[in-house]
Amino acid sequence: MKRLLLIFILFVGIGTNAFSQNTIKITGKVTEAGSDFPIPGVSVLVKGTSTGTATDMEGKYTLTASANDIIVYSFIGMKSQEVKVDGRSVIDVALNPQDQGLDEVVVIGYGVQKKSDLTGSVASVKGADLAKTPTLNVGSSISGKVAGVQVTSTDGRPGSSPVIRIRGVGTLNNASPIYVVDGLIVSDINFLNSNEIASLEVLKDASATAIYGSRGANGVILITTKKGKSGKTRIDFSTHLSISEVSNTIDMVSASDYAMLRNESALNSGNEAPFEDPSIFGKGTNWWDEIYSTAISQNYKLSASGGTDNIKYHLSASYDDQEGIVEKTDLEKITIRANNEYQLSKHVKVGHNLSFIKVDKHGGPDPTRTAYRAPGIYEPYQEDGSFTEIIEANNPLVGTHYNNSLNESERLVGNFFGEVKVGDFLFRSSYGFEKKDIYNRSYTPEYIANARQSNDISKLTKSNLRYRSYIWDNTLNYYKDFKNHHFDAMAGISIQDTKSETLKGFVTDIPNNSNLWYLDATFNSESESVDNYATSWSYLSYMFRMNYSYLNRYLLTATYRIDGSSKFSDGNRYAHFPSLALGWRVSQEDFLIDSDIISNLKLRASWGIIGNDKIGAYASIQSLSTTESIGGNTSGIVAVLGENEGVAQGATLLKLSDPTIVWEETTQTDIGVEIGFFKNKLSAELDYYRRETDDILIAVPIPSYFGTRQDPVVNAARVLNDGFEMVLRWEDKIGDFSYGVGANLTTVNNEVKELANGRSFLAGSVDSQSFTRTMQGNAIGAFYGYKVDGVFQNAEELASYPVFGGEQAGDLRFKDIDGDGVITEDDQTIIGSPIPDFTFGLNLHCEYKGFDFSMDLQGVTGNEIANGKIKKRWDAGYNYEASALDRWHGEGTSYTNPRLNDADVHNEKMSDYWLEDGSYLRIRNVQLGYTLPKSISQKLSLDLVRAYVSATNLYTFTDYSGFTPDIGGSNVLTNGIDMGVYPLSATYTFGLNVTF
Amino acid sequence: MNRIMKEKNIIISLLFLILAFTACEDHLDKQPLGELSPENFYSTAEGAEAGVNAAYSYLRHYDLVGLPFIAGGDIASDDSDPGNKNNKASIEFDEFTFSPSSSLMTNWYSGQYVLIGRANIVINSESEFVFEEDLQKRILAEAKFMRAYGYFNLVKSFGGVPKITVLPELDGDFIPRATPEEIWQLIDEDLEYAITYLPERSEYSPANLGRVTKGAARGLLARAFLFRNDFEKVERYAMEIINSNEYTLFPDYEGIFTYDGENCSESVFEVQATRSESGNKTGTDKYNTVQGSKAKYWDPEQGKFINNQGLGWGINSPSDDLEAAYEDGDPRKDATIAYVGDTLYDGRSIVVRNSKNHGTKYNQKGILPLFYDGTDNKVTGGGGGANNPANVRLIRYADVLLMAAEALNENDKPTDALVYLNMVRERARGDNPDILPNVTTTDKLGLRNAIWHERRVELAMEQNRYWDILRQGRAAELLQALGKNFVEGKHNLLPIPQVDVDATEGVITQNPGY
Repeated sequence: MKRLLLIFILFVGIGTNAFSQNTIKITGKVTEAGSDFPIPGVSVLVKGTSTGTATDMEGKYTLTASANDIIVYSFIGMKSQEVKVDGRSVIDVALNPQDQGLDEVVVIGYGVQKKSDLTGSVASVKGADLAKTPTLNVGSSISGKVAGVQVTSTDGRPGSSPVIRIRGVGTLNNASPIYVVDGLIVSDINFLNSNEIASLEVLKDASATAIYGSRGANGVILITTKKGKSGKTRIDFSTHLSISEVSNTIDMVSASDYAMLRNESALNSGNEAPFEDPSIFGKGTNWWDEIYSTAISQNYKLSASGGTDNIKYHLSASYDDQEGIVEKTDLEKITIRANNEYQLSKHVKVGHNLSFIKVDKHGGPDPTRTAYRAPGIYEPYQEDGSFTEIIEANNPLVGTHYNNSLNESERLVGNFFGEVKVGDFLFRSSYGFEKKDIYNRSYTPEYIANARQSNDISKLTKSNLRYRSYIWDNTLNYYKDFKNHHFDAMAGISIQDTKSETLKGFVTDIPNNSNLWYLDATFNSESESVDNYATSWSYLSYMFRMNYSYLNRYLLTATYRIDGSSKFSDGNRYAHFPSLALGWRVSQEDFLIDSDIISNLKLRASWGIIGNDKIGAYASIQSLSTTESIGGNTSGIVAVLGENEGVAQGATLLKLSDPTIVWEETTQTDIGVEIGFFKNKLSAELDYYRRETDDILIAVPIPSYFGTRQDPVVNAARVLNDGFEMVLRWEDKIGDFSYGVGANLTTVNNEVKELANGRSFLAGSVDSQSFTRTMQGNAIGAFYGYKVDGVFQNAEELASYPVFGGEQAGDLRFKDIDGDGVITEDDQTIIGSPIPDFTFGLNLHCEYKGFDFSMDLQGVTGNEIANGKIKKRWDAGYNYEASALDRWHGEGTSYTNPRLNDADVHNEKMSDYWLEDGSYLRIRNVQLGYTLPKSISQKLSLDLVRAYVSATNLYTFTDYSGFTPDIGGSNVLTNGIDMGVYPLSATYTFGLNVTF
Repeated sequence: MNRIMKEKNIIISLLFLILAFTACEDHLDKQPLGELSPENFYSTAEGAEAGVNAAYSYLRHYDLVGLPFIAGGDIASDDSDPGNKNNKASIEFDEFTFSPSSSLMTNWYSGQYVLIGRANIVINSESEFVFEEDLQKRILAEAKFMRAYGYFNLVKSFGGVPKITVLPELDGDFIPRATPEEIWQLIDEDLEYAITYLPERSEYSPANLGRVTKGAARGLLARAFLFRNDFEKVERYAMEIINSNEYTLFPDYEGIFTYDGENCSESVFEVQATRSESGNKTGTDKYNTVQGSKAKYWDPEQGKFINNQGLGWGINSPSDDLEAAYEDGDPRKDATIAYVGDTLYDGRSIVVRNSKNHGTKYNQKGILPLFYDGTDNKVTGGGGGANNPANVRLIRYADVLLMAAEALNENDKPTDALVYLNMVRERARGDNPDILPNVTTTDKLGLRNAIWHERRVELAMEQNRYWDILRQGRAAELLQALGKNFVEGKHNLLPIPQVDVDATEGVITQNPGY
């Protein structure tokens, strides 16, 4: 019955079209402009109707239309063309490739805008460029591609997310940008695959970000996922296979050298030498070889997109299986997406962007640090197959072997929206949601690996995190063009509600059988403990934006947002975030419009205030606690009482709250020039930015006499970031050879202007010494310590230079900064900064016939890295890096490196001896691809076949001695400290893309 | 046109509807989830008791019984060495090279104020109390005891410190240091109150064993007066404890420090702790871990010795000087010093050196329960981190007897003093009549030295020694003789943590010499 009805409707539809007007049968051929190559699959539509067809293999089509219709030809990657029929019966069309230029539309907050009309600083990256770097994380694929954006990795574990900073570090809190996917503010973008992305925009200046008000201060990354377009169904299949291996390891000493150095160190500190004959050990075990191996990853993605005028769809499914270079650190991910739009009537459109993501991860331990410490004198295993006991450091293989941790997360992210368009008004309502469920299991069996590493009772921890966030956005847009004026405006309301809750259980004594890894299976029900905690927060926001342009030359954008947040107490809840920007398209003026040289010239300036509220949800509310953190673990506040040592609950105040706290506010000014020469073959953009963040919320240490264990969060700091951003691009085509070069460079000057009444913050504490000190007049998280002046060579020098007291020949000689003739704590000073002066990227690409080649380079310079792992020797018996052979061991043997000493308290003080230059240049990605000529692929009934090979993190030029100079950390106060983490891997990929 | 107007109207109505929806103010009211509101929380018996329980909880904290406590009480003294050559924090205390920035200083100083703060909250809620008056008094007395204990640790370590009896205002002026006399006065008042209202140990129900008692308050007050050489008062409070007949010496000296010896007959004030199987940290935060060694233990199932896991930092190693201080045959030496290779009292555990960086002697009073858990007779690792099972003996009856003896001697009652001194020696002697003969001298100086000696060996490695030699005015003499860098007039007080000087912009002044 339903089918009958459908046929009836179709019949009527065709009938009305066929007979109601004077129609012509039109035939024609669509080709690629320049090459005359036929393009199959081009959508050919009669404008304003659903009548249409698609071109065949030879690019030919047949269509019926009336004499004065307009026909629209569109194809992905090509500029659409509209052609009037004018009574013709044969219409051949040549399509031009889409301009990467000024008519490009970029996504801005709550709308889109032509790039030429932008007054703000917005950088745009195409999805295809992102997908070139075969990484699971979208964030890391923008590394080096956008000026003003610095991407640093936290570790090389599959699924780990990098730290992203836009235009410096703007706060002492969470300085990460916010992420907006298809209009929805989400907590992170780990769920996305780069091949799902149509475009990624980075909003940098206040004019662009102020529409996100309280959350825009650290920049906004807007992501638009791929959408369907009307036309023939296009099916894409892509796959790649990658091989990864550790990109670089650290040279450690041989086992016999270790024993020799160890003896020397012991003797230097008055201990007996532990090894009689160091030479017997030989080369010894290379622990890196024991813990790292080659990993294989694979990815498959299938998508279908297409549609008619009324229904457009993009459906995709992908599967990733990624191994880590360390055992038990693998990841498996399934992503399913449905982005559909339904035109219900001329005025009403509804749609949805939905994605479901399932990730299963094995979160085995990172053995890097133990392997770094384990001396090579030990074999990994004993003869009976058991793990060797390593007295100095632990056997690096044990933790992984007994680890059974599993992390399963499921996310549903998306929105449903409806749009009503009436006259010049467009009303849009979107209901978005982010549901995240993370299940964690960790089981450690009872074991005795060796005398040192054992676990006397099996332990099981289960946890479930339930995260829900809902955003309801309602916007009204108005567009009006009259004469030389263009005007558009947007007003909207957004409400958001977010809640996160964790339920966690723990038991001991569970059999080693995965079927029994449930809390109820415990043999020791007394050991059960449960944790349950939650936070929730909400926003209520009103926003407004107006764009006005006159003669297409003079541009003005004004935005205003009012944000209310539950994180602040009643009187301080709302804040106002205005912005204003002006643009002048000089190239549109009469004196330039006909210029052959300058094809584009735009000046723009913007100013605005934006906020940041990434603080705890309840910083302004006083409450009592019944649990507290002890040694990093949550524990009940309890008294132990009674003959049976029972537990009596306690409750107390752990933290004072300041109800008067207000929003952090960033005032940002941006002045920019965009210039294009020779039809934009050469283009350049230059921006100067200045961001000053005031009222930074920070936990300021209060005197101990308050008796609370945590410091209250107050508005107490001001930070300035300023600098330049430069982008240069050259694109050209010589015959069949096209090529392009892009370069970007960013400078950052970061300075703390005010901090808690002149206080300074020590952070990055290792062995009760701090690596960094954040203080007025210096960069956030600047390294702080002594300056080394050399090494004491003999008693004479010890007597003639200022000393702490207790130094011996071979110890580092510190500079007497305050000149008082002795070395004291007052001689410490700022000795370096983790924030680079320059970050840069270089992108090259060229295409010749079917071949394409691209290369991305990326780097930083002007920052230091604190080599924490080499400094931190809890045990004198840790292994040594090969550089330890250059130590001082007698007068004249070294003027830079100190002697070895078991009980060292002097040389290991934080000094510039432990700092290294963090500059590097990395060949981030190189790719060579080949696309089969259409003549061949079409014989295979395929539209496009492309195969490629690529290498990621191929090589890094650097003087830094660690695994990688790319040391990220989410805490802005402790950046650039290398404690030895899971290293980045070099990845070699073979991939294939096929379009049907 | 009409239709467009109509649709426009629909949009406008929709907008108003949305405005009405979203303008709802309640949307932004979020109260903390799973956390208690302080409003009137302490007014009930349950709430007030939870408040004071939080203070008991903090007694187990690392700040109060971990390395800061051990380094100050033992390592700084002539009784003990750092033990672990890698532990810079305790080396600093051993060599008197600590500074205002030393982390242990911050732990020890701020930890006392956490305890004081938790007590203050309860004390200041008195006006809200709506429950049985006897219980009100007891809870207030417990809280005041805790506050006095915190201030006692502060004043003996740092001198006069900010006197905080109510939670300060966050935006108020910084509070300068009070004089030592003002702090002592607060301690005296709090403990007098505690003595009045706390029950005797025998008056508590078994479920409340471990709460502070009248005896504990008297003991702490006696000790507080001992620091001021006010021997009249020391005699008075020590004698009150003795005459209360609540306590007797435990017959087996070594047994006091075993699991069975917890809350034994001579326990006057003891930090209660137990190893917990659950996530709750009910043990002390590393009192045992800090001092632990490794051990070989006898596994009855396998019928052989097995190396236990390497728990323990091996810190606080009895010094040669202490070893030499024991009289011939004094069994307290072996009960205090665990030598590598010793078989411990449980008969199954052998002390093994954990690391080449450790010394050869461990503090037996601190390590034992690491590998002996009396509850199920199973040898265990003891629970690392904040899960150390052993109670910490803060005031023992033997200490009270020796305080009484010292005060009586100073108050010219040497024969009475001898009674209590010899009670302690007699217990140590056990059933071996050939050792530790009774002291008979009534010469004031001679007897004083005998009592001081007895305190040293009886209370060795119980975190008392440094404070004893400091109050006796002998720290410089004894420590300099061992080559330590103790400077008279400087090291008599520890430095105020630099972070506190900084946090008050210098309103809190530093002690002289730092």
